Amino acid sequence: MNFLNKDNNQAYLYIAPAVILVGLICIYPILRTLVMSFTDNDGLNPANFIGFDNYIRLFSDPNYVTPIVNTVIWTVFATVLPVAIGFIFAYSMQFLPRSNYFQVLVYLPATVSAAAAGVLFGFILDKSGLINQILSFIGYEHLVRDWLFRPPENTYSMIGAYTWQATGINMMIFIVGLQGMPKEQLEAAKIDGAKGFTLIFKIVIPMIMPYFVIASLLALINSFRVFDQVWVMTQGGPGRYSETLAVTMYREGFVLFDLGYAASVAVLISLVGLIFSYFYLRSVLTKEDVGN
Amino acid sequence: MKKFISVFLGAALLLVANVSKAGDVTLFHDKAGWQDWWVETFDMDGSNSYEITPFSDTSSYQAAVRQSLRADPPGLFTWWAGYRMKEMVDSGLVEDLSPIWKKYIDKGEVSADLAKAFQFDGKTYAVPSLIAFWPMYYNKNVYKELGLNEPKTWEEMESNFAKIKASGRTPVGQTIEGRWPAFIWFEEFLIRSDPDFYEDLMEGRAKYTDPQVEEAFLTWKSWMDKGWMDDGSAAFGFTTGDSMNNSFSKGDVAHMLVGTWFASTVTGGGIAEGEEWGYFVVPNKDASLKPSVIFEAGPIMVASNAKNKDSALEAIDFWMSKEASAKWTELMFFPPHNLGADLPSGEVGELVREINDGGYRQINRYWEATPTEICEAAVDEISKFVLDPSSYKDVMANLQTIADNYWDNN
Repeated sequence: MNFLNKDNNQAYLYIAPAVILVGLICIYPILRTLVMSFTDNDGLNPANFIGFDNYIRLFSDPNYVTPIVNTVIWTVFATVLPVAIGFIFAYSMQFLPRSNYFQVLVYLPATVSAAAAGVLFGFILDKSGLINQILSFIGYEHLVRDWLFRPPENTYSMIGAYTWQATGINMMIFIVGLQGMPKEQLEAAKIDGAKGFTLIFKIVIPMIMPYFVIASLLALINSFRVFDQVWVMTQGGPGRYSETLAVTMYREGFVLFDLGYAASVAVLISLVGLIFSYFYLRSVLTKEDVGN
Repeated sequence: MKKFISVFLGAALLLVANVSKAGDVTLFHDKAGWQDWWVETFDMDGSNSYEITPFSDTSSYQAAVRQSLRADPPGLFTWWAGYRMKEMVDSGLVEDLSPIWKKYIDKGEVSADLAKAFQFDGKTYAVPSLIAFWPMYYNKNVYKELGLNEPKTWEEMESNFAKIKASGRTPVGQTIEGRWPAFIWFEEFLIRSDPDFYEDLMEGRAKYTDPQVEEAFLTWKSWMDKGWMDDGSAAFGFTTGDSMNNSFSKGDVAHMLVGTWFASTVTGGGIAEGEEWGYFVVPNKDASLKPSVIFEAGPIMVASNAKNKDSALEAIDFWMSKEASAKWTELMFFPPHNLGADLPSGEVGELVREINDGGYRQINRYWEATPTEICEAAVDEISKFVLDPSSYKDVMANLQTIADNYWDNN
């Protein structure tokens, strides 16, 4: 392939603005952050190269066990719940009349920013918020509490808020998958007597497995780097008990101004995200190649 | 026609050009709600013109100021006192304002004690934009209903708490919401027994595992065990919902320990200053100690690399004058930094009079008095104590580890 022929020159001109933009606002900051992670940059004094000291500190400081554990909890639950509930909604929509309206209702939370959702749920989960009012109304006063104050309830409450927002996107992914399913195989299975959970687990799910993979990997990437909801609802507290790695990065960078150390946390988060993204892209591209 | 267009374009370019004129002073601050009051005060300075820029988010403000200090800083900027400004002092990025302080101290218009919050190696690097004291707010309606008197001793105060608790109310509000408030009662319990130890602890000459700290935690724990303090989940807040302020205004919480800058919010909660709420300084647990009170002072600093540094220094001179101080006090109800200005009316003025006339020892707040790296980590550890008071020994050990990590390397 000759990259320098006339036809390619025109194509390069068309993609040049996008490439320059991505380079300036994505690639350059990534490289700057990577370099910063090997320094003691504090935003005030000239930075000195300190090698891998920041990374050694990250993996040897016992204070960072809690953020790592919380991030794993987030990654597991904030992947499983939105994906599973999204599939349940998508599958159920097939049997509902005027399901379009229900699809819109379920998808609507995804259009709200994560920070706005965090503020909203800060009120809902408050001591005198909606959740506690409902619990009192139905006679469950003994369950009333400040949902965002004590660990581990505060982490699971925030995961619940996140699930409310993330379910809609997964539902849409599965709706596409279910609509694209070959109907003949489904009919054949029903004729053979498959129904209910057997039909779902043995026929439907295997047939749309690529969509499960895509939804799960997307959810993994997003949940691993969760920040907005946590910062807005608890700031990672109290006592750092609800802190995630992204919140750690923010604290170290913009509260303590240990920018070099914050950069090392950012690099770690990005590396893990990159690994998940690799599998996600491999899954998507493989599907497109099969389609072609 | 072409000539006209050229002249017009030239004039337009001149108008929009960002040319810094002599006498232009820029001020950055992070209290957006104060913008009008900054403008009104500095408008009184006829020799300079001011461009005052508010930032609505504290984190972005701090990042913006730090990044600008070497290259293109504002002439003036607000910050936080004590150790929180030490980095900038050590980096040579802020001006020594000692000559201006000397001028006003020699005239008897400013107290030399006030400079201490901004002093390093005998030089003073800021002037105060905010002076606040930390008294106990108390709900006078509750006191009237229960026949209580403002306590003069520690024992009287605890007796009041017991009676308030017996009436079904929460005697004292505390909060760890937002992380930073966790230090408030920690510092208060320490200074009520041994303020010298507190100041040693701030500077690393004492340890978080010393008996004085244990005594403070045990007293705090006993108050919580007796139900005299709430669980710490309610933020100071404003005037609605479950905020401590709203509970205080309704009388559900009878006391709260917070800075005098909170006064207008308390009144905004619907109870009248003086008539329905008031201040007292928490009495010492050790009655032999001199009366003392926690204070905080917010600084304004001059950036050494500012383009119009000379104008910025003139602005500081104006700020320290009786005229500017009186105006700022009138607008903000803060105690004045110039002794020639009148005290604010109401409870704040009464408190300042009591502190000045009573010769109170003024002790710098924990947030500024100890290194930032210790303070930011310590508030999270202290929060763990509030969540589980029986964990005080672990918390003390962790606090000392945090302190050791800092003092061993600095």
